[in-house]
Amino acid sequence: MTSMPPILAMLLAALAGAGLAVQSGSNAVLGRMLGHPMWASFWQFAAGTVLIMAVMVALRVPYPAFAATAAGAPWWVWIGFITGSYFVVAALSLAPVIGVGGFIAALVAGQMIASLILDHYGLVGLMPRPLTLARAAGAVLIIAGVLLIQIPRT
Amino acid sequence: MSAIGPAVALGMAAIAGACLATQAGINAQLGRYLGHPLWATFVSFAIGTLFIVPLLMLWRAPAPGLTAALDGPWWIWTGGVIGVFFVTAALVLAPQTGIAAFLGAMIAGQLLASLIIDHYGLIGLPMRPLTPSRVLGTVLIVAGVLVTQFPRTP
Repeated sequence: MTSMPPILAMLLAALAGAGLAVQSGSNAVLGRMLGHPMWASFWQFAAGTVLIMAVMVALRVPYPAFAATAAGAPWWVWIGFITGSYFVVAALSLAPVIGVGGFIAALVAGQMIASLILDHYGLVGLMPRPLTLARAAGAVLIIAGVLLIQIPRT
Repeated sequence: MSAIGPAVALGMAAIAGACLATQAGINAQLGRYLGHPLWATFVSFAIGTLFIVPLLMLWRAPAPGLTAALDGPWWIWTGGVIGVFFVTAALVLAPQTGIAAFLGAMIAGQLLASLIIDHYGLIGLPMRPLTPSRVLGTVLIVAGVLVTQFPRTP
């Protein structure tokens, strides 16, 4: 997996993003039909858990080193679910206050700024990728583009 | 939640973005410790499912209207599949490309897909035809993603 060409990695990332766009639409419909948006989140996580278990059985993924991980890994490897859950709650409770457009714009701004910091210092086990003018300019362009898309909505 | 002001809500949305950025790195590290990236996806979804149950009670969500949803279109149930793909893609790809590049490509894919979904009114959403500012915003985002890639190909 380390030999994946960067172009392929970027295309897969874009595909994952396209999936998210479809997902937010389909989850909205599902939530409406089930009577509450949280039920759509529940389905997403529960179905995802079952699906990933089936995939892992099919691929014969070896049993994990839970004990060794608990003993040797830094504490923060376990908090991924907190950040994920905060996102679910934030999306459901903040969008009504600032609108979906405002939520997305603020979300992307937070995402790009945090990712530049994480990359620059090589935090959470990442390879350091120093901040360059091009990377900062790219982040500004992305945030500007998201803001521009929200304009006609208001 | 209605008591919080727009500025606080925007800040909380930005923090949600920062959470998403951090989560990819954290989960990559968890997968490395557990011996396989799919274990990190599993932990993410299993704990997420457990986390949502108390939230459902806290929010006093009524019992889900399954009969209505079962009569709905098939694609309302695809959220779990897409979620698993996204979480796995993020934790495998982000360490290779860097978080900023991964998220940039993801946002580009997300907004390109949103433009298509909105323009044709797909997956149950109202039609929102392309406007110049929406197209220009998406072009800016794609340009931003390309710009962040410059230093990688000297």
